[in-house]
Amino acid sequence: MVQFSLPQNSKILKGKYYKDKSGSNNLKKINIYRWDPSKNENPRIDTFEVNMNECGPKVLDILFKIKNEIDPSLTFRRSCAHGVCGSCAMNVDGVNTLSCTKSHSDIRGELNIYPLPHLKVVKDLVGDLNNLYKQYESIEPWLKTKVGEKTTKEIKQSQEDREKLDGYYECILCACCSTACPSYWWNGDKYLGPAVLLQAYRWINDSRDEDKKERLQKVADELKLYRCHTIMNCTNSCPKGLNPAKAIGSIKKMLATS
Amino acid sequence: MQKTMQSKCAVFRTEKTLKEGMKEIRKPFEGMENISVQDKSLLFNTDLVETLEFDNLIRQAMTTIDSAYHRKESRGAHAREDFKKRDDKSYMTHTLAWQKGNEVKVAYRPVHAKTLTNDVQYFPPKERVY
Repeated sequence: MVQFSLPQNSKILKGKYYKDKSGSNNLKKINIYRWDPSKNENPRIDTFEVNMNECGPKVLDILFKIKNEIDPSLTFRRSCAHGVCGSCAMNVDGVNTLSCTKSHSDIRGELNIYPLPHLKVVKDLVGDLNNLYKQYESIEPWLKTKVGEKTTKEIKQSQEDREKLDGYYECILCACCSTACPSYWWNGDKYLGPAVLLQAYRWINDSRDEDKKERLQKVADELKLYRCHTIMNCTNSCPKGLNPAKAIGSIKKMLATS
Repeated sequence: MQKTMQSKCAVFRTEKTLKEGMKEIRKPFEGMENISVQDKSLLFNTDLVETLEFDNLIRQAMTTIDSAYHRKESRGAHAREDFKKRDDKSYMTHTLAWQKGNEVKVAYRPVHAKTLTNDVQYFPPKERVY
């Protein structure tokens, strides 16, 4: 039988244990994936005891607390801290989510924090999203019109047409959905993945865009689009409550009926 | 730094809060002598980045709070509770600030009252009323 296991240098080892120094009676154990590219070491799981009596309500607050008070070398992306920028996407307690909107009191016992799955790790909780951004660029996420630069008037949109973009324009490209998708794990180089396909649909579905046909043809590809097997992990993980699976379904339907 | 700026140099400020703030903001600045970066790695070193950001921000904070103290009028988001009116006579000026160590030197230069082309006219700024 074939045996699947991680290569020697990717095996996760037990890391350091940071004991609490505050003497608090309300401690939580936080296990965090650590990997530093500049050291020739295996990734490890560090455990931090954190005093929850003096900590904000979100998982990101825990990370700030650890970085400020325990280990400043802990590395993670963050920016807005209230769920609009998508920088702090990570795997919290087994689910991809934004650490700034995830409440830690939802999680009982020890809290495990990993980078987004199946990305090349840059450092600690930072994943390499270059492939996703390249794919995003490939769907040409901007308004395309035939009149082009010749028009000086604004291109208007009716309220009903604008409403068709609800549930799609809100996407912040945090990559939680794409990195939760098993199909994207296997074929991430060719399959566009839920995040990018949702964006593709957002432009196909825009009444002001005049490149709909070409856009549809471009994604109508066995690998780019049809690697979606409606596993629905994307919709489950989306921290903004969107439904990428539905967007992909709509693209498939448009192709089947046009 | 954040706490001082938010409590002493918020949009609504007075001579008293600004004076206290000017003193308080110098404490974190002096603390910079003892700052160190623990993360020594060369890739994605957020510890280093944040330290450099702090170096920039603390100087910006000092110049901000000192400039606000010396501008004895209200204008836009600089709302002095002790000088509620806008004072175009003395303060139709840009503030210039030089920071060196603990000292901040504040000076002024007038606002240009003409445009660079003849296509548009100069709009004299006036008080914003709602």
